[in-house]
Amino acid sequence: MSDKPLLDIKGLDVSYHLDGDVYAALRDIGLTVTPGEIVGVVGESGCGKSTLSASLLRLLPGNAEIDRGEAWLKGRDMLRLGEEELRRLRGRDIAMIFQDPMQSLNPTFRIGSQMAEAWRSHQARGAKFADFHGEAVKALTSVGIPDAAERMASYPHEFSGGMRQRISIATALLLQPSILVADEPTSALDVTLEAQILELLKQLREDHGTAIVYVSHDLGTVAELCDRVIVMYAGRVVEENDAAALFDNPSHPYTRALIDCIPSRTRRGAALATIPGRVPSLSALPPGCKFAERCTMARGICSEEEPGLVPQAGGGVRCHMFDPAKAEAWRIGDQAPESVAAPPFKVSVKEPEREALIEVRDLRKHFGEATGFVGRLLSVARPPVRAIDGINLTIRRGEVVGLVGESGSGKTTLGEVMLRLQAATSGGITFAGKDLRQIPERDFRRRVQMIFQDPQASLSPRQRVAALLTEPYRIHGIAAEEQQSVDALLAMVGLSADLAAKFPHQLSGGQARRVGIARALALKPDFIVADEPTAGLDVSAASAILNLMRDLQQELGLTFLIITHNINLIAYMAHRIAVMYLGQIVEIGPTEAVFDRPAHPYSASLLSLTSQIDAPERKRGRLLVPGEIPSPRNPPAGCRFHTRCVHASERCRSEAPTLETAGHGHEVACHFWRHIDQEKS
Amino acid sequence: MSELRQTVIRMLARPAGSIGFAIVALTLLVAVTAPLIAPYDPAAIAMAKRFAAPSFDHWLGTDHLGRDNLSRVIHGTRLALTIAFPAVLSAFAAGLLLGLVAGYVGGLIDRVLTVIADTFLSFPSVILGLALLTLVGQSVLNTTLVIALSLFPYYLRLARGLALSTRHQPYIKAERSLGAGRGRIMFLHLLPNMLPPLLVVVAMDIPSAIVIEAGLAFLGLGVPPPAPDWGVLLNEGFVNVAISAWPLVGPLMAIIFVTTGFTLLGETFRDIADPRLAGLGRRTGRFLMRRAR
Repeated sequence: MSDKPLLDIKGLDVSYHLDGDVYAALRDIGLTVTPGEIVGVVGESGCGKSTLSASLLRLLPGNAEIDRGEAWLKGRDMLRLGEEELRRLRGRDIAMIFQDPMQSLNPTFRIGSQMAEAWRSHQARGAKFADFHGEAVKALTSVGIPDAAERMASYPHEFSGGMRQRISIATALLLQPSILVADEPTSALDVTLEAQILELLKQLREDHGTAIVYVSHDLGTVAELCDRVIVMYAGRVVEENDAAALFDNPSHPYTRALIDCIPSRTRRGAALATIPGRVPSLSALPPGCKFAERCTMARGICSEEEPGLVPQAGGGVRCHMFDPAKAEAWRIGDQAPESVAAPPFKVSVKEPEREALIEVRDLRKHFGEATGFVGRLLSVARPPVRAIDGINLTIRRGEVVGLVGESGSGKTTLGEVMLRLQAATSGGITFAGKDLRQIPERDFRRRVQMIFQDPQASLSPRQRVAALLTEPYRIHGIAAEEQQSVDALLAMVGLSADLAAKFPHQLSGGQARRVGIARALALKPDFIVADEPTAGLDVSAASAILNLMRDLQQELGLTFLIITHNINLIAYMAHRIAVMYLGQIVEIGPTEAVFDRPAHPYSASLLSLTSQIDAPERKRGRLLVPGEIPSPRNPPAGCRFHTRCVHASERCRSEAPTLETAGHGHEVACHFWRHIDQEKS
Repeated sequence: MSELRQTVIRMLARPAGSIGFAIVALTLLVAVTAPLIAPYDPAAIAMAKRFAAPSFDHWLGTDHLGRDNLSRVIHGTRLALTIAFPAVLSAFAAGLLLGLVAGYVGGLIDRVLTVIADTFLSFPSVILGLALLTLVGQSVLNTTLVIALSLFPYYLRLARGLALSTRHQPYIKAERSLGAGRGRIMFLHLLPNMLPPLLVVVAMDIPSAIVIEAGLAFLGLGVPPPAPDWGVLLNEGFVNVAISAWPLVGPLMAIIFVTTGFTLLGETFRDIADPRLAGLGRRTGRFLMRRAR
């Protein structure tokens, strides 16, 4: 694709002004997009990705200033256009879709009228309103909204998250823009929906030749979707290259470190790379290379002089240490920043003991269960939500079990019921050989802990770190000599002692997560439920947390139930994986076995949809799961997955499968797993 | 307490904040030093100088008994604040405590407390005040108690709402998972997080307490004469307005001045403490107007 660039950005500088400080958000950004090209923009948070995407449409907040630069779109420099000209350009030539489809649609308008608004504002440019209806139906149908003509009269809340993202894409498409800017369009969605949206974006390029600027922190989706990638760090482009070349042979130490941070099955047993430190504050940038202080290859010159963009085959690299003449040697290189992979190397995940620590028998949790005579009469109209519906699960001491599934499958509820944070509707839980009901609540609380999803919000905001860490001791009245000191607890999770006096809001996401883990470990629990332990963290912080969890598991023999939608994380550190769908476990087994030969069609799809960064895995066939998870209020009869399963037959619609053995410790709930398995091989 | 110092500095940086702060500081100063700065004894009757117009001797003139208007307003400041502060603070303490329990514990306790609060709220506060003061008799202490009683249900409802929304925060669940008991969660984790928005309301309610107090006295059921209460001054001035309007000027200006000062200060504090509460001002504003009626 060597056409004339559609969008050509040169030397763009953007600053934010806040309370008298100047934040250099973007410096000397160059970006070209040719027709039909998909360009990825990646980097940690705070590197300027979103500022860049907002500048492409000049949708910057009031305190932002474009200091310098040019942005040529179809022969006009957008930075020199007046507001009215710019308005006509937006939507028509360049459109944007946002991260949160819940917030980017106005809840009080029918989707048809929101789309009409986009249409009407461009009527002057030749769009006739008479054509609107037909075009809108076409756009909605092309993004996969069934019964588009009728659904145009629906309000946004009548659609699910995935559908809403499709609608915003349809609205963006209505005027057939030549460039679509997508800012983290799948971050709020499950893997199954993410895969559908990515497929849709690829389809757009095929059908309309739409060029796409895809902004994301998820390297996996970028590797899969994009032709070319720019890597941003502290407001600069540090590397630009063709996607395949960039992921296979990263030239900039930062790119390399980002890629090495990602957990995956192939990295199992080894420590993940981490990037020490944080992105520097944009108001006090160091003079030299902005990455120098976190870079393991940095030399004297790096902290003195800012490197220019050194050209390489598919783009450029901003690094003093990079020499294009020796590019090959560099890449294969022993110079590779190996010390980035810092902490002590652990051989493998420690094997669990034989003794069962926690055992769940036929557990159910129904919300809104009708009680009493009148309630039961009324409940005919409104059945309860079956969040968990008949779960059997045994976790052995020292075992790490990964629980995966889409949102709405009941993962978090299961974790909370197991820890008695919610009461079960029926079924039994045995902990260390005793019925849970026979264990006094206080004793139980000492022996189990939970790591909550939101690292910052799960720390009481007006307590200092020291108080938070020692609170478990005060709650349980632990004698001083049995307590671990605040410093020791902080050291255990790799934090420095001076954090003890800080409040939670003064911590970064990764630090807050570590404090949460230290607090969970203060009482030396037997069993820990970790709910999305890396959610909301940048890849570098996430990899450090996973390393920490793995080390702690090995040193202390902890038992973990890890609840996550990130299958790579499970592949990296769990002994066993359990796949949940609509309140039931559909497949469970040793991680290796399930990954090698997933027996249930649902797990097979989930695994295939997980974005892979490693080259051999990147271009596998993907088994899309159509549609969305049904409501747990009215689960489908028979096999609950039959509505979305390509293999479903008459039997699946009427008869519910039970878990049967598919190998050593490997169980699956599917009528046809043998049949499907043979077909595959 | 650098957080506190920072808040104060940021408040003073805004014009509304510095004006409010200056007015409130001046009011407090006047209240504390009233006997020193008042040119006359507020109770000194001089029948010869009745209804005098302002002069160098009497800056605001004299009333129907020849008492110095300025001195009476100055002493009235002291009286107004000694009623308003304890009334609002005790109402706040009671409302916060009961609202916290109602919101966090829930169940029967919640229902009983909510019904009590709603019962009090269903009476306009001045009517409630009049009825109660008729029963218990007029005095400074009774006026304070009656005002506190009419304010506390607002705090109870507000605190209950805050407790209800805060109890679903992840950190409360985290505390429960550590095994923390109710008392610990309520007083160590909920309370400190509910205080900032409630303190804003308290700051903004000081003027409304002053207005209710003056209103009750004006109607003849608050602080009894001859105390130089602003409401009493208004009442006496109103009776004799046909002869001289000067006795009204002082208390009117004082009420306007002081309520404006506290409101400015409270609103600035709100904007800084929690920008998300910006809507609260309007609600409290309406609530003030309802009280004034």
